[in-house]
Amino acid sequence: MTMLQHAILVLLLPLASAAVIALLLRRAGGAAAFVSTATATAIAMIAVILAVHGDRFEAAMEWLRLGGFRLTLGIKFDDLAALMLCIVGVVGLCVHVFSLGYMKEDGAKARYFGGLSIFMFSMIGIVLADNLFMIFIFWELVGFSSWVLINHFHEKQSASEAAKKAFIVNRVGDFGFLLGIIMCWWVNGTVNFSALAHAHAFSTAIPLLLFCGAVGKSAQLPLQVWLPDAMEGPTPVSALIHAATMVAAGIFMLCRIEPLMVPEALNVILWVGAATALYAALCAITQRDIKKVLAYSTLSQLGYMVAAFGLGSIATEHEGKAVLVAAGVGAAMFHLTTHAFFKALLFLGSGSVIHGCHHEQDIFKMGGLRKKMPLTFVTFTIGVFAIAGLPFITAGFYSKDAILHLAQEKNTAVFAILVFTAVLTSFYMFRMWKLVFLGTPRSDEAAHAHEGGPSLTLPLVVLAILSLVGGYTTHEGTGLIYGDRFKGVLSLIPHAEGWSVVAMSLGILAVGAGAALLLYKSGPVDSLAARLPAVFLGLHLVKESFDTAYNYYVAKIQQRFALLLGALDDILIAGVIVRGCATVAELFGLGARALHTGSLHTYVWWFLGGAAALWAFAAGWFH
Amino acid sequence: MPITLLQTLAATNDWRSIAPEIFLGCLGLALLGLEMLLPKKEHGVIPFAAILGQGGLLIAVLAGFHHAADGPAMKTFGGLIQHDRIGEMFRVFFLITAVLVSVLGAVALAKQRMPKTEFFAIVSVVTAAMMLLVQSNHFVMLFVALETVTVGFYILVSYTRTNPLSLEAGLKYLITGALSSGLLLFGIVLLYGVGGLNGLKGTSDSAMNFGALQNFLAQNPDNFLAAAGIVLVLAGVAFKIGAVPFQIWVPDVYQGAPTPVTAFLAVGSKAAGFAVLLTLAQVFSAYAPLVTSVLGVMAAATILFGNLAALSQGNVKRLIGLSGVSHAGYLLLGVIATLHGQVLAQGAVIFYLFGYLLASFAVFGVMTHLAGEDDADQRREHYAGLGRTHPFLAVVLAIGLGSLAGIPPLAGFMGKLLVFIVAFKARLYWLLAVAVVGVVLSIYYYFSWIREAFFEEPNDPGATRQPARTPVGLIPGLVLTLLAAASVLLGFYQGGLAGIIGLR
Amino acid sequence: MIPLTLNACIVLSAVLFAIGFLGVLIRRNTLVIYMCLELMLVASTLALVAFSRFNGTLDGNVFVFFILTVAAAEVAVGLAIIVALFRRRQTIEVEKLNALKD
Repeated sequence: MTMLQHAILVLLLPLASAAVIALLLRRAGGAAAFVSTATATAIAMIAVILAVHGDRFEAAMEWLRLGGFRLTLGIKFDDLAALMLCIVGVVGLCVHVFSLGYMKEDGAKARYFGGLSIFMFSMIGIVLADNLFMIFIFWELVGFSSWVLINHFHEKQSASEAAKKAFIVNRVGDFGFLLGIIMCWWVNGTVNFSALAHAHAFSTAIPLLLFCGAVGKSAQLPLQVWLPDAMEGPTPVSALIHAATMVAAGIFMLCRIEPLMVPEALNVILWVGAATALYAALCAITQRDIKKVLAYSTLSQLGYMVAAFGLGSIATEHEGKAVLVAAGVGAAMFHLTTHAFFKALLFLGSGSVIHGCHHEQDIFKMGGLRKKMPLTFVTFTIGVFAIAGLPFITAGFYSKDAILHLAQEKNTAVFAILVFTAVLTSFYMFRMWKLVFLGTPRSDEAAHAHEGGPSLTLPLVVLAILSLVGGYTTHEGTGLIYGDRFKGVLSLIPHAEGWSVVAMSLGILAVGAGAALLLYKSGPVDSLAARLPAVFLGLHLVKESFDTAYNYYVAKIQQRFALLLGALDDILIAGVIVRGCATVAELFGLGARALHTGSLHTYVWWFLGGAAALWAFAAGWFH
Repeated sequence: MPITLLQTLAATNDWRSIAPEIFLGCLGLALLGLEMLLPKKEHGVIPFAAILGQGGLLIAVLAGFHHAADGPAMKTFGGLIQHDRIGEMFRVFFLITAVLVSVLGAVALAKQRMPKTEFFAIVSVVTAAMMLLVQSNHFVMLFVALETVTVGFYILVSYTRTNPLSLEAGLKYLITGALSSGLLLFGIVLLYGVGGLNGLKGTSDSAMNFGALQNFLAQNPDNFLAAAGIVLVLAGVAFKIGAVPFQIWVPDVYQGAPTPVTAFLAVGSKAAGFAVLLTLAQVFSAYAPLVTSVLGVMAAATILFGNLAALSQGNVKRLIGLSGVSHAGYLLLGVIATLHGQVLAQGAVIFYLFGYLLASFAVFGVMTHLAGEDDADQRREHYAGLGRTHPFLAVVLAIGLGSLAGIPPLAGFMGKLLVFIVAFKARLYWLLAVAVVGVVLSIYYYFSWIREAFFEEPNDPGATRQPARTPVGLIPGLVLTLLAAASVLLGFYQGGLAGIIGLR
Repeated sequence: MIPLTLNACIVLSAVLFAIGFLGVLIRRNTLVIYMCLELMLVASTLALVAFSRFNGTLDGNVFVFFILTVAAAEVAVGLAIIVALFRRRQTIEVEKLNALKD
């Protein structure tokens, strides 16, 4: 088989799996799980084969031609696609295996695994697509599968509303995306990526409109509202779709259209990303739900990637000549890769915790899980250190520092924001880590927690290893686990020199983690204020005031913002779009009822009016 | 009249060239004969005989398609009929329609205590008349074929004669139809009269012949009587396709007619109207500014009216009628594009019609299975919970409605895309904007319907009693599967059909 | 006496057509409406014959026969519908036949 056939196979396998499940295995949950997981295994294997084989190619076939208008379906398999495909394949496999254990008792297993297969199909479609139009089709398909999977527990009102919200908010972004595609086609005459790389016409509107798609899918301000709610879906889904892959598709798409970027557009992208990173990190601090903390952290990290992309190229010297390196792409994709590993690890770890605690998600009702679930504890700790960026041994350190280094070179204000965000990140992660794993159990569920079976722990171990070793890359673009297969992307990563970076990272980690570990006592936090006497409050006055002040500001900002967004949501989505549609429909319904009286005479009058109008046309009254 | 003239005229009578139509006429008679000859308890074979006859003819026409279509356009019967590629494609189109209507008819009539044979006989004859209609090259042929179609439809619409609603629909169709025929005829008369008027350039002995008329119009581009004739003829055609302001009969008649007949009206009659319009657009090309402005206003009004009126419609038969009105509007865009010299526009319109055929019959097929004894009372509530109880029908319905709504990658989407592209090339920007608004509006009501089928539970069984659903038989099931599959396939790959239609 | 010119014939035909249309518009009885529809067809036929006569072409005359045939078929079907409707509803007043509406 040629590599092209491999690529087509890897795209169609999950579709076939979804079709088999939908048509034949709707009642057979176990068989559906097996088919879907076997498919995921095959996808991961083929993805690795494709990457290792080293063949990079493009192929397209004509799909539709109408005069001068052509649409092609094609595959563009370069290093970028290869890297993304490997991420999707490996993380997808881990999530499938994890789901085998996590969803064992679920009544609608077939729907769940069918949804996963559809998702894999559409995600791989995005990765392999060679033009914007194709990306858009699969873009809508991932949106659909995301909707199906968020809606999995659709008996729960909140789940179906979250699914609806995700769908609607994404449509807003997709509208801009579609406009951008149309405009791009109009201006450049093509939407093929390779052809666009040589495009000459530049405008600010096209990249910004296309960026709208990424704003929706990657949940950037101001369309970030759907992602935290999307946590209503099953936890493995959150890990795969709403942390590692689908939400990162926005960044992937941006990297694809990098040649279209102009400085003004990049500036907007940069600030949207930085604002999202900061905003989400602030939000994460006050969350009680373990998945919500991770969701806001995902938002924040996505903001990091978008900001990294927005930082753009840097001029470096290469063999004596000054060349422009798309460092933004390198940094963003690098962080996307490591983030996929450690965030999937964290989500699956939280899934393991939730599973162990009999579906308790409140971190203040956990505690002491270190002893009950040692393996989860160890892997989760690795994940926490990775996202916080512990120097040298974790992958997160390298990718985050690439971004910080780039920001330092390009934009001091953004650099400051990102450093502050990094401090916040390690702060809230260690807060959660401490509350969940240290101390003593604070509820019956936590007291009776237990480690799940091998299908729950094995993916954790694999992802933990990847979170540790995934960051070693060299200037030449080779890496410990990557070899020299992804040179095209990894050689773009900016590398900081000297020890200042390490010191900065250590500083960030120390401040954030130290503050969290000091600040939070392992106990139900509300009891801190309520149960303890005034003396205790007095003793901890500094801490308390710091806490209160902090809570006060965050609560104010966040609540105001939430209120504003809530109002916008009510007015725009619920009020104007949903209810407005119904009202308008009713209004026109009244009109239609008034016209369709059922009386023949009225109808004959229509004919008379029509004939008269046509006669007037013939007489040239309208010329 | 000298005998030699008659002889030369008769020499062009090529009966073999209209063999399919003759066969359909004979099939209609044969079915009636079969009813007389067979004992009563074996009348069940009659629908099968009809479907078999129509299906066999479809295969025969398809087999000879390339032979007939690739040859040069040929005029027979003294210029009454023209055989060309488009005519041949519409032959196939109408035969497919006939087979599908017969299948639906067999399902629907099983629920009624009605004579069955006549239905299939009339469907066969009406199909033959439609096939002649699209191939006509002369106004006499056009009028007679059109009236044969219309009179056949009068009977079919009021076919369930025990149901007063069906009869009322028949009466309404009868009066509005006769009225539009009157307008059409007066238009023809005006064109004929002015085309032979002494003292004008380019007059002809037989101004009702399309070629002669086109020639005459080209030489007299500013004649008021000719313009009046043209718009009156357009009015008659607008009635057939259900374009504003001659669309007002659509919801009532669609609701009252038996569901298979509604499908026949929605697809067959509409396609026949568009085929005629495509031909006439060429004949009237000298008056393109007039025709395009008339059709342009009509298209915009039709799209908006159809979609807006459908927004809150609860009766699905009326809904599908009103949505059909809006589809006529989109198709008019393609017709206007032909007048702007877009060579691909005809192909786009025909492709759209094929996609519309597949999607509509998928939806009508599901409707036929869900209809109770009172065929006119089919409300959206009746579809609640369909996804759970009848997943097959629900999926077919979703594909059909999705295709009608133009959701990629279904056939309906490709059809819309093609028509919109040719309209774009013809620089019909304002109409395109209206059409896009229409498409967006239409998603609302199509999806309310799909949502009803998949996400609603039948609440309060007393208030909205759902009629008993007919179990899906082998042949209807197969047909519905084929329709849905074809809707999906044609959305992904249209190479074959597009090639035949001449899109590439 | 008015000389028989083409114009006179066409005007007469147009007037007949208008009367027919008007009748369809305002009469309540379905049968009368139906007659008015036939009147419209006849008006067209008159114009056809006139054009045929004054233009010296034959097609019009031939067409008349087809129109008459078609009209006969239409009447046969139409009357059948009206009779069946009368049996069911005991009325043929169009204003009462409005069960089908929004």
